Amino acid sequence: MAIRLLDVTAYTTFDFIEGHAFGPDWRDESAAVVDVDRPKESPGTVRLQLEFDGSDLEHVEPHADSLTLSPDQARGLAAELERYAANAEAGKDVPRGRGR
Amino acid sequence: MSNKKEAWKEGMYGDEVREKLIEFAEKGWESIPEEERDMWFSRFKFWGIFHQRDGQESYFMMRLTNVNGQMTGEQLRAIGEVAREYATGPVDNPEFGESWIDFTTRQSIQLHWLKLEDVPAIWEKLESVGVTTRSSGGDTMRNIVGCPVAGKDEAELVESQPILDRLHENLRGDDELANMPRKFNISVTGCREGCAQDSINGIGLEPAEKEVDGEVVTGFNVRVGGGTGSRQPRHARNLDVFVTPENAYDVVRGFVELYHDHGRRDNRQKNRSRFFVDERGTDEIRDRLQEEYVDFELHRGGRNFREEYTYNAGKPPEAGKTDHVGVHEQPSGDYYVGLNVPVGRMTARETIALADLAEAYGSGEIRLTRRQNPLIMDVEESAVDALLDEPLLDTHTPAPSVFTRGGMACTGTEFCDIALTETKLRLTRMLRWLNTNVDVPTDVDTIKIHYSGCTADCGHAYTADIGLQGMRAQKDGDIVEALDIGVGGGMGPNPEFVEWVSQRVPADEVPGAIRSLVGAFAAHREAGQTFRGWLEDFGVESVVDVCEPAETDYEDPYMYDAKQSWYPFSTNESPAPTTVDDVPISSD
Repeated sequence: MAIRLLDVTAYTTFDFIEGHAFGPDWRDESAAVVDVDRPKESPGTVRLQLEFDGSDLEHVEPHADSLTLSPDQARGLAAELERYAANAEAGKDVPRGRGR
Repeated sequence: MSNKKEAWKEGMYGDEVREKLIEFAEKGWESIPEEERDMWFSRFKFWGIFHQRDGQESYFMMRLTNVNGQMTGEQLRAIGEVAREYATGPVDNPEFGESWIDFTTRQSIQLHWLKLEDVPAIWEKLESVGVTTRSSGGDTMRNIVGCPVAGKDEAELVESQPILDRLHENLRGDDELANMPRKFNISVTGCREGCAQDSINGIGLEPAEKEVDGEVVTGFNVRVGGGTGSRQPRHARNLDVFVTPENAYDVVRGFVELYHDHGRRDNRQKNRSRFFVDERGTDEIRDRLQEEYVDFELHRGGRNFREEYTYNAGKPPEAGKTDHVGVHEQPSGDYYVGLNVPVGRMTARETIALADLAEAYGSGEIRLTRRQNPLIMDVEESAVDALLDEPLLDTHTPAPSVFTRGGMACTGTEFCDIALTETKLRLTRMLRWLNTNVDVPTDVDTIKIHYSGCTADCGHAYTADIGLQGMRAQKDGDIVEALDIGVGGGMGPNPEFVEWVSQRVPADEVPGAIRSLVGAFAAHREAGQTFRGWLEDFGVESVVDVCEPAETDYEDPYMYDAKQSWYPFSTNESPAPTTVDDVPISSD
């Protein structure tokens, strides 16, 4: 059996997130691990990792995905998450950019 | 570049921390500046003082230390009295009440719910009978383990206790080596049962013999770089070095110094000794050890005795002892009696009673095993039956059920910051359910179920027949405590780590899953096969298919906590931080 590749501890950002992988004509629902950290082997970067570890994955090989973000990209992502979180709670979009 | 903990350690570590801790204790919890708490708590660990988890501010766990799990009745009684007087929290554990001790997997003892203000008095009481907490935590040499019945063991090939004593006194006691890159584990065993579990230690000495100058001499082979944490377990690798008992201390010291000097201090995820051995390789380590750290010629590895190992070796009972539980004869003709303490937890009252029994029926000596169990030593044959009739041995019986005998668990979310699930109480309930609901073939004496609350694996899930590690899952729309289930681990001639067969199993479905595994074992095994022996034939991939998590009438009342509350068994608000008398300290 495929084992979870990411090491999940109390320090892991999220040990359970619902998600799905999808293709042109398929969709696999799965639990996922999401983790953000600062990889010691790539100083100055932020790492965002995602792994679906459900037992019902039919269309994807066991694997984890890892994104290497610059600090600016990480802040940009955080800002977008904050903005959409506020939107989700408000139930409407808060305009961004020039017209704001 | 050093990390934060390295900077703290460089600032102060080792023996120096003690004075500071006493100073804080005298002035009280609030004297520790809030912004300095993480730093001081990190340093306190060297002295065995661990701040408990979030929500339990101002309460501490204390880990004791010893040599090879050995203590006198007087020492254990003092520990029990300390537990009775000081290990009392603001709330009881629903299963164990208040005031208890935990036996650990490194032959030691932990106490919980202590107040910092009480630590000096506790130290005074413990140290007056020769019990210390020094070097039991943090980045240092942990309790040095061995065969708990060293010197009193029919299976002993070579004497190890004098080496263990010297390592404890001179190596672990050396303040110059207090600040290691990371925690470091040492084992030395001269017995042929494999009970020190050398293959999961940073350095392990195992019994061996070799022809030296035309004469066969007994001594030890050396293995390095074993450990089970972070889902990156390693068996200690053969260094291909044989040492005589006379040189054993110097070789262990040499490797400790080598790791102290050259182990990475920049990356805590990669600096355990097992990764050090990955990076350097045994050839380089052996060469460097020879060139720079020992001043005698190292012999190449001798003949080991691993084939004889029976401890958690997956062999049938007739092959020899799989643990120390039960009544066993010593070479002197006396007996030792191994009690079974499920999940390692014993009340203060029972602890004191155990000390009394050891003195009344034996020599007073008590020894602790790596399976969280105590042994009463040196019982005359004529006294064994009367000892077995004592009420304490009814509770913690030397003749336990198959499941109770095999159960071990780490601390879990009850007190531990990094655990993902509760462990000890849950496994206690699971063992009870398994005992009454799952049939096991009569020629099977134990199925080892080890439960760790997280991947640090302090509960040794990786070396179990059935290993459990904490995780989380969703069930009926709620996030619940869940377990990953693995099978097929164990020690012995060919140590194996579990392979995972089911992930994120909601905690209340785990007993059902275990029942399906044991059911398949009972149905498909050949007569005489142990669980691990059967797995080797049946195959782990086939086990994936037969492992069926399912709800049963097992009830798991704490599965929705998922570490959200300050104490998994309380629905009240946390009173912490509190005064020494458990009165909440006002934030005004």
